[in-house]
Amino acid sequence: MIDSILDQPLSQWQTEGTLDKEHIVLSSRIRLARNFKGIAFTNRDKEDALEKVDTMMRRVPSLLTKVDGKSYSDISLDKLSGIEREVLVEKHLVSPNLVEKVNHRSVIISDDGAVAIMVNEEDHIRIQSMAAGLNLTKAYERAVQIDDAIESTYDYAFSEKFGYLTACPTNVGTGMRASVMLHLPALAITGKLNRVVRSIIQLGYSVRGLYGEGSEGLGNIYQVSNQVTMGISEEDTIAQLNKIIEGLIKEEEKARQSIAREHSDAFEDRVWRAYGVLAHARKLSGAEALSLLSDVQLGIDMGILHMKSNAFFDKLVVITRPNFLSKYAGQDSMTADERDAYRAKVVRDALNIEQ
Amino acid sequence: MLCDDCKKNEATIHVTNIVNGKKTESHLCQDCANKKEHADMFKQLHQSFGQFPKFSNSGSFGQLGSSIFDNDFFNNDFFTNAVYPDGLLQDSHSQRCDQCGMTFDEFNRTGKFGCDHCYEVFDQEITPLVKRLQGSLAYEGRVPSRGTGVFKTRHQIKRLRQELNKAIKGEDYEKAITLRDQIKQLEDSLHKDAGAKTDESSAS
Ligand SMILES: [Zn+2]
Ligand SMILES: [Zn+2]
Repeated sequence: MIDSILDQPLSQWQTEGTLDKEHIVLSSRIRLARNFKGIAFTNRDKEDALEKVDTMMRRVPSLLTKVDGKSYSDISLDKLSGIEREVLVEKHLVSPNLVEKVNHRSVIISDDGAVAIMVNEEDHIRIQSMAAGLNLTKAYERAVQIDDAIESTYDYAFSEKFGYLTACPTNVGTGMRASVMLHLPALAITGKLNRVVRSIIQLGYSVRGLYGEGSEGLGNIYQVSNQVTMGISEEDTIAQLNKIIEGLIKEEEKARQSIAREHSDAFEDRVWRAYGVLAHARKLSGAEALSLLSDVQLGIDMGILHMKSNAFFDKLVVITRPNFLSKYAGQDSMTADERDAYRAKVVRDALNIEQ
Repeated sequence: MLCDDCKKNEATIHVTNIVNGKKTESHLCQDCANKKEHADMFKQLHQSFGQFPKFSNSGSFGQLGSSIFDNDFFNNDFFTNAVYPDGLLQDSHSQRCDQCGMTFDEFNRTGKFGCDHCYEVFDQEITPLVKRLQGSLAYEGRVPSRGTGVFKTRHQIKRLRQELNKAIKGEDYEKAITLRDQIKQLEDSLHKDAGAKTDESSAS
């Protein structure tokens, strides 16, 4: 199963889930941070504590199978190559933080790829549950099911006063981070994104790029998530975030309508130019590919271009990432130049199939 | 003239900057200018959060007035600089968590606690810190079901009370009556539990 995780750009949950037809919300994600009672946190770097958590978590895959009938694989990071570890990061299955060290670090992944539990990250475990489109509740329900199953076997670090105890006080309480990944090209093109981002941040929510801080603007993909984990229940957090996302979708729709109304000629030209470069370029950098793919996807959403598969954009976003691309090419080391050439070829081939 | 950044589109925006007495000119297309403005804004946001985290309870959700960009939030000495007044730190310098060996000084440097017991050892320091970071000290989330029966019931009661208030406000009296009965039932079971415990301890 690990091979299909590393070789396939999309997991099962991404291809069978219902994507909205405008393709604004790409995915929803719930993360629960949990630690075990009486064991030093990961940052203490104590061999016995790391090993203990590692050993405890080895029992979890079979435990979870008993609960939901799905199969889970346990992947030790020290058994993977550097490129394979980076592919897990590019696919958002693990955080960059987890792959910094490998000893006793692992990830438990469900066969549909919708669940990934990081072991010995900043907290002992971080349960991540994903769903296609805007569906935080579905992701939350599965996360809770897993949380309950683990808690029925092991004692969590929990206090009546602070809730779930985490290494960082910004997570203490529910330990929950709910986030939604969105494609917001029209807000970016019309220059309205900055204002919208500011207002979301003022409400106490964070907005980051595809790969967290520093990647803002990449492919016009953004993640919006809650910050606060105290004084509010998980359900209320999700309800508030849902409201914010619904507002954000409306803003993006309005921007798309205004483009169609006021700049349809210029926009059509832009989409076809992007398509032309993707279909014929012999070299593409990662950032350029994402930016052109974003234009093309918006062109598809607005009825200018037509593709066969619905998940075209999501798939190519992953395929064009540097490590995934190297793995795809079956090469351990590629120079940036070789990669740009190979990226252009993969994108050309993909467009040929889609048309 | 072509855009300096992408070298593809016609440059329509011309900016003159004077940095250290040196004049630089940049010519950008609308696209690249938008991108630049966007990147600058995020840079500014991250910088300002790093230096002066603003915490307020006045947001419409009564929560953080600012953004904390996860891990990077703690990369600088912000605890010592901004969140923690020096005076409060003095007492706990020598205190050490007896389970993991963490001192509060160490926490101030890293922004991370060492184990669950730290939350008890440094309770005095953590309480105001969490209040500032989170805007609230009231835990409202899920409760593990094992070994915490009484606590779970108390939480359930708290939630039902909130629902009861909502029902009353919405003049849904039928629902309010059902909720009131549920709360009473839970409270009775709580008292029974407490009674049983007292009996046990007095017997031993
Ligand atoms: Zn340009
Ligand atoms: Zn400790």
